[in-house]
Amino acid sequence: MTTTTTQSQRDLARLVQEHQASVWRYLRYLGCDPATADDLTQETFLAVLRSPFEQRAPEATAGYLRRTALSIYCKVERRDRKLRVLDADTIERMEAAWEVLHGGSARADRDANGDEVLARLRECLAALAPRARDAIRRTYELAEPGAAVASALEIGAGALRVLLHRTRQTLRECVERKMTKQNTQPGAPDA
Amino acid sequence: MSANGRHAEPIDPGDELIDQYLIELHGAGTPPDLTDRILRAAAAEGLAMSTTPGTAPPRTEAPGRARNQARRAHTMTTIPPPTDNFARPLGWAITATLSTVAVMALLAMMWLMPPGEHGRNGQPGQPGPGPAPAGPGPGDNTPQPPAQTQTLDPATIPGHDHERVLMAIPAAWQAILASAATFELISLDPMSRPVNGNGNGNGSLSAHKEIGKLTISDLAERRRMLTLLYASIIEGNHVARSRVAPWPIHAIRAGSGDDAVEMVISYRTSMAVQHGAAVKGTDLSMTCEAPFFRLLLAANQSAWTEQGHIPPFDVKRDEVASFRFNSDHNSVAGRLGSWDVRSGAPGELIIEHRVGENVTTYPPMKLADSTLLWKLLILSYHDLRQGAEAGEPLAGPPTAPPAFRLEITDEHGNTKRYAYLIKNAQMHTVIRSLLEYMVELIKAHTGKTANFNPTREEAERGD
Repeated sequence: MTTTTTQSQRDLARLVQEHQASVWRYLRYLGCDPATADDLTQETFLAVLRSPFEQRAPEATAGYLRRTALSIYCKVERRDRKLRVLDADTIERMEAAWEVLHGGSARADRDANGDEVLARLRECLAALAPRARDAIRRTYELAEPGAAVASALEIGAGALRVLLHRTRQTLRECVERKMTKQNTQPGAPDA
Repeated sequence: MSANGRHAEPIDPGDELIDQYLIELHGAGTPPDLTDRILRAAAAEGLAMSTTPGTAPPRTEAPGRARNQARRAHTMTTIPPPTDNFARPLGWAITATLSTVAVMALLAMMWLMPPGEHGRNGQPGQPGPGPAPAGPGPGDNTPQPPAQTQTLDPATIPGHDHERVLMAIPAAWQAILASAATFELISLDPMSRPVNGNGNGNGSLSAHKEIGKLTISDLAERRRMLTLLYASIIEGNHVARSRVAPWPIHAIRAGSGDDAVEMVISYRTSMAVQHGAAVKGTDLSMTCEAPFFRLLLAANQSAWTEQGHIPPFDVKRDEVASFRFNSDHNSVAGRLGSWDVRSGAPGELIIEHRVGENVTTYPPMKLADSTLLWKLLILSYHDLRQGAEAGEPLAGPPTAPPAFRLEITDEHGNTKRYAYLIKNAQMHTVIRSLLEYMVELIKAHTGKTANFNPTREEAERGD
């Protein structure tokens, strides 16, 4: 009995360790602040445990957890004014964007915790044009106010918004390309 | 991360996703390790992995990929929803559950009341209590039967026989908590307490002003509440002792009249339990994740705010004014400096330091990270409220003597001194503690050496 319990706890710990980052990132993506993401991540795992749950392939488990998280978010958003309300179309578009960025719909959950995306993003950042890279660095790394970034780059606030938007778009396409390429390479895991 | 305008304007989902990863890549918003927390919560609920991976056919119902996941998620017909149980340290689940309980209790009351008495509880004109804010399924709005008449067996509540629990709540009192016909969660005005010479309350619930309450009518929820309470007592840093709760913000009352057991609970640290004339004090868990405290807090923030009531200690909401402590003319180089401490996102505290045009914003702190800050916020809000009602500015006039000062020395040996105006002794104590905390924060985030060492004589002299 004790052995069974211990094994069960190990299984649960492994499940959490493997997938918590993905669930947390997904909840942040939906619009949770960090503290709420913490809470809903926990509740996601508890909700899964409360139901008959069987682990299968990691990508299927990740998808299942993600959809459970989405379900929980949709419940909470009705009451929590801090959370943005997502209509079905928005969710669909967000889901599609998530899938594409994480390796395409066929392998949507292959990057179970998002670490691969981070690695690819780092590579793509290095390949940016100096001006765009500077804008990203000032905005995200140095957390400079928009006015300061615009001033440093000698552009207006509107131009900075456009520059950041295009740069993020470039980065996204770059990451998607790399993720897709990686997933279609012969010999890739589970290919 | 307001710097990138994450929420300032709508951006497309792909852009937003990259935005999130960029934030994380540059050192913010990294996923925390919640393993221990989740395992504890699962253990508290008796949840565990039921199967070994690969030994059974995969579940196909919920994880199966439907074409329209989004709409399915909204209907929540195939995804296993969370139950209506409390998740042990989980604010939102507690919120959902207690909100549901509140609505159910209200429905039950209205069901039993004569029609003419509807609306007596401050919601006149409403045909009903409205839709449940959250619940386990589409049947949430269905009126529920009155409260159950069964009772809990106190011996089945985990932790009931622990030494610390028995010291704080004797077995006979535990039996009342488990079996009393009524079990109420009460919100108290923290500033209404009578104090003794040490600033502590006298522990009697009747001495405090009640500003709202929830009736916990479901036995499973009562069990969970007591389970969390006992766990919080067991996990407390100290053994039970004869002290009572200062600055109470919550209370629990089980039963009524002479047979009632009442618990007055401070902002986090301690609790006084009373039965008849006997009072026992005990400490509660001080950890950030203290689930019992979170349960109480969540109850306040959900049900009572939905009823249009904002408790004075509900400092996480936007409605609460930000506050600021201004340094006076003794500031370094004669410039006016200030700390700007205000509420941010839920559970977050934003602290900015200004000297002239220079503004330093520190990373948001979780409110729950510090009992000290919690205490500060309770007092500050009260102070603000009273000051505003009296038409006073928060800070005193610049010519008033400073109560104490903050000194920060940077890596080059430059010392900056800030003097603060304190309106009363309580604020003095609390703000002094806050500044000590800030100095630690500054050191942690900037590596700069900070020195905070005012003496009473210096403070009184205004040096």
